[in-house]
Amino acid sequence: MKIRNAFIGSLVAAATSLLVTASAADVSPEKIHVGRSHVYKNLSPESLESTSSPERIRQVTAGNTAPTEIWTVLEHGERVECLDCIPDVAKLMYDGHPKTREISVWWLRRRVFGVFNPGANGSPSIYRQVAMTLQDQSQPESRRAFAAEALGEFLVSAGVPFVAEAAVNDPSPVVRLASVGALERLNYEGPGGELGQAMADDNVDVRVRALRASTRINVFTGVADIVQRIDDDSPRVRLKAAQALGMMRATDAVVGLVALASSSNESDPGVRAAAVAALGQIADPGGKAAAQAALEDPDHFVQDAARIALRRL
Amino acid sequence: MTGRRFLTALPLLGFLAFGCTNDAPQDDDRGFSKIVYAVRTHTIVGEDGSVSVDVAGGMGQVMDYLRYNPGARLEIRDLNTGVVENIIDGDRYKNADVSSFDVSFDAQKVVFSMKLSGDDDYHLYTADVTRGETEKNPFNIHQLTFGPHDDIHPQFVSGGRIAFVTAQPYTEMGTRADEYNHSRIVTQIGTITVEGGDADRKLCSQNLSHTINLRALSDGRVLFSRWEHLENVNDVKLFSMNPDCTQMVAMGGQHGKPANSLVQLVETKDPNVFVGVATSREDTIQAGALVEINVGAEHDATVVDEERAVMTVITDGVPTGEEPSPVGRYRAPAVLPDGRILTSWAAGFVNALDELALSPPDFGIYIYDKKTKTNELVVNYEGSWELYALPLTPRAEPPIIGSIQNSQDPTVPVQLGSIDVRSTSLAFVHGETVSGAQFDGTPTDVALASADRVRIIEGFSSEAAAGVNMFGLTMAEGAAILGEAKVEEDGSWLAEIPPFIPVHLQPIDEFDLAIRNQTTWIQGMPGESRVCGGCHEERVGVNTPTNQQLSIAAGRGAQDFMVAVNDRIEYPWINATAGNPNEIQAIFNDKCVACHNGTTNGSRAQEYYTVTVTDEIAGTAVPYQVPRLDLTDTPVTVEYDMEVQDWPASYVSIFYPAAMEMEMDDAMVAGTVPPMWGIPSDARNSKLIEKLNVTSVNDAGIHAWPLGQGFTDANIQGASRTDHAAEVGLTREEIVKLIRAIDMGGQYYARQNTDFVPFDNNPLGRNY
Repeated sequence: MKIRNAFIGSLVAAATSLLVTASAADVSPEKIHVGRSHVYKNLSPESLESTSSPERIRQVTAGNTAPTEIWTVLEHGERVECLDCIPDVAKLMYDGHPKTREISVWWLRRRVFGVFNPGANGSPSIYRQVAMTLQDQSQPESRRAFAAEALGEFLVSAGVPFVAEAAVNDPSPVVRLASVGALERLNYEGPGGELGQAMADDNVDVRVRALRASTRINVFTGVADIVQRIDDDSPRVRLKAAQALGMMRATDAVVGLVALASSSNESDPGVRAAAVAALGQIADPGGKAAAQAALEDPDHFVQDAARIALRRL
Repeated sequence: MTGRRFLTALPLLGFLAFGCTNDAPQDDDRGFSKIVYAVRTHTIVGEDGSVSVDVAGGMGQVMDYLRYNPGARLEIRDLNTGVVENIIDGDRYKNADVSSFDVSFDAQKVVFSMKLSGDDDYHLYTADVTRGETEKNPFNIHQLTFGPHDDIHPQFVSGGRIAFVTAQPYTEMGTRADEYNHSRIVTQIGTITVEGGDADRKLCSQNLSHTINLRALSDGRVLFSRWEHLENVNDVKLFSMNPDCTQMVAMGGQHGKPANSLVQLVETKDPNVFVGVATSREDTIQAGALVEINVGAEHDATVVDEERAVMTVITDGVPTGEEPSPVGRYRAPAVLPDGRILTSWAAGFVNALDELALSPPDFGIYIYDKKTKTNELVVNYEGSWELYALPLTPRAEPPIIGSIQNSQDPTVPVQLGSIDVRSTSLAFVHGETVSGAQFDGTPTDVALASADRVRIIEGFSSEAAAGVNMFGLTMAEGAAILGEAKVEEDGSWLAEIPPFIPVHLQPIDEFDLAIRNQTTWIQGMPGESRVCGGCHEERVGVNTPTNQQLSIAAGRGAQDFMVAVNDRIEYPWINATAGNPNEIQAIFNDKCVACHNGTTNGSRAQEYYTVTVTDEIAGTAVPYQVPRLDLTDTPVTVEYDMEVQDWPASYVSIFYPAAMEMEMDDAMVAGTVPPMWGIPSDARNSKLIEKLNVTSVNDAGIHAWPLGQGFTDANIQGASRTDHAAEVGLTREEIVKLIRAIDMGGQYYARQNTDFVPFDNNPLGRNY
């Protein structure tokens, strides 16, 4: 191990001088201000974002680069029209690091040319290739999942039908999980309420992710799907359901939450605490007795939730 | 002190780091004997024995907070005895991580942000700092917040409250998107009470991007760092507010600083002097150089003069950028009673190279003496990070700043205005000038004398709706005009706008052109008054209305700009909802496309320049032709799969030259690139507006660009300036729409062409 570290250390040291050189070149005031709005000319360079050069973008996509370095260079390349970089950055959509995958699509989706349009020989656009990858069951599940993530990160509503379909029908839970995440990213519950349907998925992680997503998108209409999860076998799911119902102030869920708040019905203290907290958020009088009873709960976090809930009830 | 002397100290530190973990320094009249700190893990051993190293995860940027690795501890160390206690000991906390904490004024409690498992969110807890007799809960830990969102960076503030930042969704926009188009994780400030927790939760007005690193000040205010993303501005600066969420004002970094980001600031014993970390926004694992920031006015140190802040890096040799450090980096400083600095420090590069080598920087806790420039080891475990150390020592509880702001009602307006918009320090302190149209290097104070109205612009991010992502060929965020307030004869203006939302201002002249674009977001609480002296008035000057006690605007009453979110003025480029009068493409279709289309450009044939991209599949070069000025909605380049959602030729024609100017391989472009027809946020220098010309709102005979003169860019066709708008039948109202669309940032997307639906679980109640 020490030998390996020493070897890596020497590589790092060798790379340091190159990085310093590149970094210094990227922050020259001239480059910072080129093309920027004239009204910003009075701002100091420290307040502005240094731009990545096309060469730097190509370098970081070539491999042997720390993920954070890739993120920085691509983010600082927001307006850098490096058209030749597109194929290399597109490969990062299938990188092993989730943040690298995210930032690669972030960069790609702002390229006017070369991402959303077909190739010269009629070959599908990069965007369409991603959609096809998600739909192609011969592709490994990890690659289909990454394609679902990318469709979410492209933030184009055209991707909604693809990820909505995959969220409920793909045979792989890994792909369904990624597709639910993509729906959240697209800020959409799906044309057929697929986010709500995913709450009944066989896989616990998918159910948890769908519940989480329901609290983050602007409009979610499937409150009844959440209420059903009060009886879920998994305490992880029950906890997320209670939190979501509290946040949505779902008065129809009070009876179910009252049941979850009791240690005689619910063995998991985290779920009980979430249920009591939700009753406080909903502030329906029907939840008051359960909150008062929770003051005697054997778990001190449930007692905390009860004290706080009662101030709201 | 030189870098060489600092470097010579490092071998000693290295020795101490490995040899003295239990040889803690004795209490030597420092004024404290115990410290509290978090121990956070970075190397995870799985149940199958696999080892994973998380070097920078969750902290790629200085404001990131999502890092979670199980196995954290919250330790109290007695420096005299070496006795260590872990507040979160026990099975219940075995998978916990702690992101931040604070010590109460009487040094009897801590408030901390903890995540109990990967499924959990960071919530706030309090605990005693001494072990009690209850075996089940020996440190009397209480949970204060419970929602499905992260609450972090808690700080005790006076009056039994705790301030913190939260990713909780609220307002009609919900949780805002990181840097306007990343994930929806932006943190805003909130407060709770120690006794009531979530039941007393109060949410403060929002910024567009993250707020982090809260710190209670001795005068009762709350200091914090805020990510300022407003088009090209992209940095982290200092702000403060009252504990009731009012008076969010700049405190430092708005006018130059030694690094892009100023974070983790703490107060020293000197008034308005802070110590914190100056670093890059990314890549330094939230560490950097220690910086001392003095925002006290020269004549009176108790008065804040943020525009003349003096910032001094006090750690020689530590970079303030992202490059590898030759001497390590500092993180999370705290000022000790004797003036020295308790801080985390790690040797080595402390940047992305550590990540590449899978060798985590080893943050330990040290006492840094800025006089001797040396670190004294306090504690450094191998294999973990020791962070956020604070001395367990009582401090005076700050005075309670009285408040009448108790409403969370989003229908109650905030009042915004200036006493005299012409009052500014931008020219005589900062040398700012204005150019374009009637101005040519004109000092800003002189230009502001021409202010006719003040445009109030709401900002929003990609949380707006599906399909809103980059807002077009611009780095600007989404934008909507709430209104344009009249500037009275005495320079005053006053308006009422919706609370909670971030806005920025543009004083505009008689031609509707922005004189200046405010590059800081401002916001207010329901019922709050945010009336400034001027337009960036001198911070230590006297601000009074001209020749009278009451400004004219105040006397006339505020203009009402309480506009519902769906009715605010946006300029969707195309595909606006039916009946929207502000679609830009509709103007072009009506007045311009007969001459500016795919075949003709004015009196000439349309010209094209070519950009080339390599086809990923075929490996062949694909050329794309961009028209010089085609104002039709013809799709130039792009079709989104399964759905027609094109970039119209007009948008690409107008904004691509400016986009290309940012950075582009010259070899990829062939042909003559036209003038920058549209420069986002700068209609005054956009050649399309100069070509069209615009008349005064007060006198149709006065043009922004005098007729008959040459253009500012020889590449604009036509021998000399005319009133081209009048020639083609464009009304002034239509020209103003183009001006506004450009001054607001050149957005393609708006909430009004993306089927925006407000966040429907707004805890503040009715969406406005």
